[in-house]
Amino acid sequence: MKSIVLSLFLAGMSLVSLANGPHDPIADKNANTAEVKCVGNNSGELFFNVLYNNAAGSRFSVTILDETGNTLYSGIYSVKKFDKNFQLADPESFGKLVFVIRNLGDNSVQRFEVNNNSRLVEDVEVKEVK
Amino acid sequence: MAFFSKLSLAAAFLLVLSSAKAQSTETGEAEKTATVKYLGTQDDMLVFDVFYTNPTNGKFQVVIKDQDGTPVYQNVFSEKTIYKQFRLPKSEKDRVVFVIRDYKDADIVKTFDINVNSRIIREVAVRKVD
Repeated sequence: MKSIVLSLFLAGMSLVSLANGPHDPIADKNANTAEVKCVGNNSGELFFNVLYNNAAGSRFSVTILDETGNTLYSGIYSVKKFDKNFQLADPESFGKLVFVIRNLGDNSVQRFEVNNNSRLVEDVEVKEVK
Repeated sequence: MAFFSKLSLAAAFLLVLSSAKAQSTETGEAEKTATVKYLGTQDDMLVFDVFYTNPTNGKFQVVIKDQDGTPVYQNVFSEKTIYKQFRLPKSEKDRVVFVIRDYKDADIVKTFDINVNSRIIREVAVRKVD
């Protein structure tokens, strides 16, 4: 198993806001439309938000692959409004991820590629000592 | 008569000019004859300009030392004026010292503290693949 470990946690805050707020991003989408977003990388952490409107309530799988095709995470769900955040435990080590959402009811597949480009920036400060 | 009047005016003008020149030369010498300027980085190197006027035409030495006092460059010159550009590699050493020694007066010492701050910029892009 690769050193990259994905931890999954329920986006409780997100679900609460969805329940209370007037805007429902899932309901805004067409049927069975999935969406993957990078929702922040503060403090070196990287979160990916996966939305899936599973109107029919079919079983579907969410799979996350690394750049060589190794499965980092796979789960099967049947919730109608899927909204989960995935956290990358070791964000420094990945260059590319692939999210695959497969509906087991109609066999539709949606794929998302995530590319991570990191570059080192050096700020040089030179002061004359008086 | 008019001729002598013009001649005396021209002479007075020249006198003013030469005294102004003498004054500026004296001021320049009083300010010091050596300048070391940090110009910035280029190709990962720290670029410094060294300018030195050597009014006595005697020999003088330019030494560049790192934080530990280890000379990284030294050379002896005898030109009346030198202008040299030095490119020093960035390293963990965070101090550079320029010494100009004319073997007569006290050494001219210019010290620079260097602070390199490194940071990683991450750009994450998500795209849907059909």
